[in-house]
Amino acid sequence: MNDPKLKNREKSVWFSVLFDFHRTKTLKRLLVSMLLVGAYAFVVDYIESEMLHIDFRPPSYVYSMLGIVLGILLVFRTNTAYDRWWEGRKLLSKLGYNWKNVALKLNAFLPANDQENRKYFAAMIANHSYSLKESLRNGVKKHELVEAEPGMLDNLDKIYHVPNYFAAGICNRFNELYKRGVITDMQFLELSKHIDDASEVVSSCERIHTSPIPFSYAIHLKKFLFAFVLILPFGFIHDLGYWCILIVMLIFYAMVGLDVIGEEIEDPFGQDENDLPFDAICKSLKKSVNEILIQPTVNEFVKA
Amino acid sequence: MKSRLKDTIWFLDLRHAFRTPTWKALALSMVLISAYYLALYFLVNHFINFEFEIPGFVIYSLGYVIAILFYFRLNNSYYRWNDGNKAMAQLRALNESFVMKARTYLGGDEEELKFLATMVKNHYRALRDLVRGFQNPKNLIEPRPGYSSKMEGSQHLATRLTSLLVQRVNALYNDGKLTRIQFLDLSRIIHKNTEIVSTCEALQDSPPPKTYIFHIRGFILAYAAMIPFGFMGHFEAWVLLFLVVFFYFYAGLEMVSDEMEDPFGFDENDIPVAQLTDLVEKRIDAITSPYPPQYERPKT
Repeated sequence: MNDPKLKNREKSVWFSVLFDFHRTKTLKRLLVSMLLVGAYAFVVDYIESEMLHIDFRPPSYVYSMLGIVLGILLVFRTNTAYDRWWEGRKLLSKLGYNWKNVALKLNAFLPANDQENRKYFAAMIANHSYSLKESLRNGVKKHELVEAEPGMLDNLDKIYHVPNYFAAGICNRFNELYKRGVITDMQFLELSKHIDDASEVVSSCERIHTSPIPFSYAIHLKKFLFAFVLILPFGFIHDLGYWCILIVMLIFYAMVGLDVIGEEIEDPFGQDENDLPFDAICKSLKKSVNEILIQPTVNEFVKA
Repeated sequence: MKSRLKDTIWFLDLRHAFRTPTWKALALSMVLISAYYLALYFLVNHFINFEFEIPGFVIYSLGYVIAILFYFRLNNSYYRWNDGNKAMAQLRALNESFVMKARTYLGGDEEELKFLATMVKNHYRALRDLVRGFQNPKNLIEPRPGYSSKMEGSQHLATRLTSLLVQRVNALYNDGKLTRIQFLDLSRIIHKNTEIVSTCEALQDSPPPKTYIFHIRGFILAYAAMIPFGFMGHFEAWVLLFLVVFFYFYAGLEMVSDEMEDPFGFDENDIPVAQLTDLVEKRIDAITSPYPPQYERPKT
C-alpha cells in the first residue's frame, strides 16, 4: 500500500487532545445540548440556593446504581458500533482481495498479448469498486469510472444498481471467453466463483449502511442518559454551588459523547474523518489490478 | 431504508422517546410495581416503623450482578438480530448472482430466464413468510398458469421452491442449454440457499431457554422489590418517583433484549423483511431487463 492516505495513523502527543478536541464532530453535535444542560443546572441551582432552600440530597448510591447499568449500556453501544465499523473494513478488504485474485488468475489464464481483454477487466474491476463506493453514498460519479467499452457509461443514470451492472459485465465476459475457448471450463469455474463473493460484499456493505442498531435499543439508551442528566445537578449543588454547572456539563459531554460516537462510526461508508478510507482503497485496488493485468514484466518469469 | 436517529442537536432525538413498543409492553408491570411502592410508602410512613435498613453494599453488589447479566442478555439478543440481518443480506447476494449468471449462461433465452428469476423471487417471498411464522402459496408470483396448484398443500414452501429450482436447472443441463461447468456453478449457489433458510428457521423457532429469561426477570423483580428497604430511614416522595423510573429502565432493558432476539416480525425493531423482499425483486428485475443497447457486445 503506497498510498499516503491509507497511513493516517498520526503519532501525536497524547496531550494534544487538549488542543484538538474542539475540531471533533462529537462536540459539534453536542454543543447546543451541553449549553442546555448547563442552563438547566443553573436554573436548578438558582432556584435552590436563592429561593427554596429545600436541601434535597439524594444518597450517592442512587447515582451509582444508575451509573453501573448506564456504563454497561454505553460500552455495549460503542462496542457494537465499532464492530460494524470493523466489519465494514473487513468487507472492503474482501472486495480488494477478491478482485485481486481475479486479476491474478486472469493474468495467468489470458494470453500475454491479449491487451483488449486485459484492459477490459482492469477497467471493469476498478469500476465495480468505485461504483460500490458511490452507491453507498447514494450516487454515481462518472468521472471516476473508466469506459471499458464504447458507450458503456452513456446511460448510467438509467441503471438501477450500478455495481451489479459492472459485475454482470464481468460475468458476461467470463462466459464469452469460455464459450470462445480462450479459457478452459475449469478456469472458467475458478473465475466464476468470485462473482458470488463480489455480490456478497456488495449486499453486506448495503446491510451495514441501511440497518442502524435496533430503534428501541438506541432510544432506551438516550432516555436513560437523559434521566441521569436530569437528576445529576442535585448531587452537587450543596457542596459545589455554581461550579456544579461546569461539572454537569463535563459529565454530560463524556457520557453522551460515547452515544454520539456510536452513531458516528456505525455507518462507516461516508466521507468524514471517522469513516473508512474507501477512496484510497479503491485507488490502490485500481493500481494493483492495473499492475497485475497490464504491465507485461510480470509474465517474463513464467515463459516455458 | 430506515432513518438513523441523528439530529443535529442531540436532545431532539428524544422526541421519539415514546414511539417504542417497550413502553406499551411495560405499562401493566409499571402500574403494578407503582402500586406496590405506594402501598409500602403509606405503610412505612403511617403505620409500621421498620427498624432495619438494607445496607448500601447489598444493593450495590446485586446491582453489579444484574448489570453483567444485562450485558450478556443484550449481547446475545443483538447478535441474534445481527445474524438474521446477515442471513437475509446473504440470500439477497446469492439470488442476485444466481440471476446474473443465469442471464449470461442462457444467452438470450428470455422466457427461461424470466422463469428462473420468478422462482428466485418466490423463494425470497416464501422465506419472508416463513420467518414470520406462516406460509401462503397465494403470496407467490405465478410464472406459468397452473403453477400455484403445485404449491398447494406443501409442508415447507421454501424447500418446495428450491426443489423445483434444482429440477429446473438440472433439466436445462440435460437439454444441453447449460454446460457441465455452468451447471456446477449454478447448483453450488442453490445449496447455499438451503443453508440460509435453515439459519433463519433456527432464529425463528428457537428463542433462548425459558429458564434463563425467567431467572433474569425474577432477579429484576426481586431486586426492584428489595430496593425500597434500602431507603427506610428517609422514604420520601422523591424516592417513590426514583423507584418507578428505575424499574422502567431496568425492566425496559430486558424488554429491549426481548424485542431484538426475534428479529423477524412486524414492529419497528425488526429487520424490514418486506422492504428487503421488494428490494430483491427490483434488483432482479434490473438484472433481467436488457442493459443499454451499446453495452451488448456483438456475438462472435
